[in-house]
Amino acid sequence: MLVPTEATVIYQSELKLIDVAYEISLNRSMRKPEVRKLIRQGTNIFLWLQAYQAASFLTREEREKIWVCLLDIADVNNFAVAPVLGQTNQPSVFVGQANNITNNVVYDAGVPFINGNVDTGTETVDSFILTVAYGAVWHYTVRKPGNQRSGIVQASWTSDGANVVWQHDSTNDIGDTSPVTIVVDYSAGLIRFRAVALSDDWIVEGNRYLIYAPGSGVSAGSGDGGDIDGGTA
Amino acid sequence: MALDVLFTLAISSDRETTTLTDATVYGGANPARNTLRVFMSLQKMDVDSVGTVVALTASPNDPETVTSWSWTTQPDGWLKFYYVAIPAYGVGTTYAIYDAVYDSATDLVYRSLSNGNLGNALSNVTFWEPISDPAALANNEGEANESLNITSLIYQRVLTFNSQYEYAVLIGGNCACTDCDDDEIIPPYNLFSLLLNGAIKADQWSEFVKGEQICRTIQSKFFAC
Repeated sequence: MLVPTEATVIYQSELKLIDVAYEISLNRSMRKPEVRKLIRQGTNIFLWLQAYQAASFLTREEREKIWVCLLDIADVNNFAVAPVLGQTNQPSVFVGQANNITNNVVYDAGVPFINGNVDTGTETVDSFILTVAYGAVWHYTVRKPGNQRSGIVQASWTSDGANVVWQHDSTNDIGDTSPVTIVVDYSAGLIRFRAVALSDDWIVEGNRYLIYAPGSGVSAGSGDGGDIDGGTA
Repeated sequence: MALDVLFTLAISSDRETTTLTDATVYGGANPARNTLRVFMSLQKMDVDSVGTVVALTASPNDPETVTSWSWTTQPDGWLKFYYVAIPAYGVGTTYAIYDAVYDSATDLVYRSLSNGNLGNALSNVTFWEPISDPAALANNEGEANESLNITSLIYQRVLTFNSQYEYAVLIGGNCACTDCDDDEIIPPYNLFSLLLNGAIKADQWSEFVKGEQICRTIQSKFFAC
């Protein structure tokens, strides 16, 4: 279940952009009223997502204006996955006493990941496209029978992947998990959460939480043989 | 066989040739490069998920040392790469059914026909079958006939650089036009932007069929004949 946070609105808007572009592509004529309506919707989504690329320079209020508009034009609330709304206790009114209202907010459960067979060497446990976020937090557990630890890894990176910083904190070991260490790096357009193992048969699993940065894109291929990645026209 | 595979893509300045480079870090905790034979194949996929083989030029043309593969740039859209890294045959190794190995004398690839396959020569047709298209073994990942002892990967992308180039040409042409009617040029500009970014997002989110369909529409509507 998704909470309608800023991050999920941007994510769902991008998926909606794909769907709208695809629906338009299925039509031969761009003049049919239903197709022109799709073009207007898609153009608006695209323009709002373009505007959101400047998010790091906007105030919170300015960002909220954009993603509230996206909520509407991208039909985010019409997605099959219903948002989980915060639970609100009914206020109790006591004559002559203070009224306390408590909202219990349900947070995003994160994206689960697992590599169920980490062997000697370096293996990727989780990865995602560099440009979808500025940073991430992984809650993880490393285990195999008789050996276990849990920890938190935090990472942040520049939009070109040239600089990735990360830090790690964990519990003490149950048994001995020292053969497994965690690293975070960037390669081929992906941020990677990786396990470096000195022995076989480890399970590394957990949940990942993104600090979302949508729409920043990656440089388009240049005319002189440079790398090709997705870009934003 | 634990091996993290990495690729980079590049296009020539004349846009005639596209190159995929193997950026995998071999050695150290990973198998050494000279202990593997690497094979790659490529298909251009259509909206019905039907693939057409695209001829690759390996460089060097030797599975022991190949580091990149080039091909004539295809129309924008969905590309599907099949990659396998196969270990050498060891006479002292017990192979399971469907395990694949290469013959260090010939670089030919063979697949085991039985479990408990130990010490049998690769020429023994009771225990080994030759594989003429090693890269196709990548198709078996997750299937009952998967070769569990190799590293295989199906790498898929939606490439849009032709569209990005034509988009730049369109914008440049309109910028230079001093007597164009804005009401006529802005709608196609918006539609091209919308479709192109839809294709780029489809690549980012692995929506390959949709990306291919969008690219087909971009080509039919905005590329010069």
